[in-house]
Amino acid sequence: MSLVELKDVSVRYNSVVALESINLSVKENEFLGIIGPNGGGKTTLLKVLLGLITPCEGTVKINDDITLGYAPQFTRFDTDFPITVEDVILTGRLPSKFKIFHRYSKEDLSLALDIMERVDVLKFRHRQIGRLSGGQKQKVLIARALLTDPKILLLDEPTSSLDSSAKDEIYNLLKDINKNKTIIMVSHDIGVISSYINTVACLNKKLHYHGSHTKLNKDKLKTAYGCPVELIVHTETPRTFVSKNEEE
Amino acid sequence: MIDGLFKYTFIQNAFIASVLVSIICGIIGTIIVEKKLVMMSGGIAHTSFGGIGLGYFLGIEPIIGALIFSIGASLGIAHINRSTKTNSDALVGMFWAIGMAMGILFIGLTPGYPPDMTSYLFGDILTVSKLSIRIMILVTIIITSVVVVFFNYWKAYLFDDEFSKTLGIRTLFLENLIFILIALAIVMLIKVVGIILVIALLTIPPAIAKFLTYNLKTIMIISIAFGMLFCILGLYVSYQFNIPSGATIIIIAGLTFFLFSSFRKL
Repeated sequence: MSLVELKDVSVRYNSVVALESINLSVKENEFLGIIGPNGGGKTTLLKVLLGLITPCEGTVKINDDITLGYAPQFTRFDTDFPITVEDVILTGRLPSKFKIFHRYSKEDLSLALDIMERVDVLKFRHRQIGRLSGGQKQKVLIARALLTDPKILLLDEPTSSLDSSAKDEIYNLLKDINKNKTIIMVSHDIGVISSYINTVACLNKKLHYHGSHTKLNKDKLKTAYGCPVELIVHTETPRTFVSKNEEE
Repeated sequence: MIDGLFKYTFIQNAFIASVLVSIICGIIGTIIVEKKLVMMSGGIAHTSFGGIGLGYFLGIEPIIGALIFSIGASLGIAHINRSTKTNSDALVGMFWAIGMAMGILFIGLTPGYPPDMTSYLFGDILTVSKLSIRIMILVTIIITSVVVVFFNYWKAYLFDDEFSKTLGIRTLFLENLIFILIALAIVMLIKVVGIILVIALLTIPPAIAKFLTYNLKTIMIISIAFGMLFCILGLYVSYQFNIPSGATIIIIAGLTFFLFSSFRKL
């Protein structure tokens, strides 16, 4: 049973094609990595899944009981905004229906504290968001998404502009989260095709490949990127997954 | 000295108006600064000039015309911005210029002696009427309660509207609401400090408050306090030296900002 199913989804901004007939299905506890060049439509695909963008064509099927948690790129933010780490994370518990004089409950706070502990930002909880390092900011955004207790966690380039130790930290965290949550992660960083991800898709307007990452070869990446690329695959016994090839 | 001043009704009204304007500026100004809507607010303020002109032309209360124009401009800019996904910068400039041009046109078309427009451009806190005070009290109550009642939602929306949307929060409602509040606030400020100086009074107090705290609520409260200080001090200085009150208020606010920013660099 797929949690999410995209059928022939196309998105165009005016006349510019961002996504073209995308077919994608995501299964429970999958860790899907969507890679591709800049401008390949990766963020657009995430926004389609989140319902922030309505596709021009095609259908997006997500069951009502499936909740999505979104961790955007921290670089997209004005981190000068007067808000503390704790307040950012608590936003994940904000009820969708307007409640007048809404205050976060003790339960909200204790859940937030647990998650802050888990992603290791508890010591910064009263700090203004801009006064954190890139890796810490990213962890705060992941924590906020986790506090919504999503079935699927969607991440937009969680490791871009981070150094390698911060990257490793994020990946270890995601691997841990993946134990009981499905993850869809977008990246233009080919180095991410590591042992953490179990399915990979290459996106450059079209979805070029969707399947177990170990089957990914240079030719397929070349089609996706339009130029030869070096493929880095961390060595670990490949896990088998039902792969679904999208032939053009 | 101060006692002597206060026996005049117009000074009392000016004092009450100062307090009300400061509350509005502290709250709306903080939102404008944090959501990077300063230029847009400038555009809304100047577009409303067209409404003032229309008011004179049709013989209705100019502020009503200004209110219609400013709400129309703010919702219009927001809507076009959303549907075209382009930078609103040029759009704001267009509204700005067209609004002003329409104001001039309507005034030119109005028969008889042209009305004195400088009170709308630069404001005159000393001419605030009892009726204006009552309207101001109402607007202050509306703005304060809307912001306080949904404070957590505003905070989430201002920081990251996209994430709020993924939570299922109706961000479009919040966006339209905030633009209407901005328009309301600007029209109210026109009467007191004038179109030209609206932006300064909306931006300077929050900019100073940001030097002092990293808490949204505290920024609003400190901004209100600074706004009151500038208005009342400006009023007193303008009375003493017989100089225009609106301009004096802004000069004092500006000087205070530069004092704080240079003090911070030390």
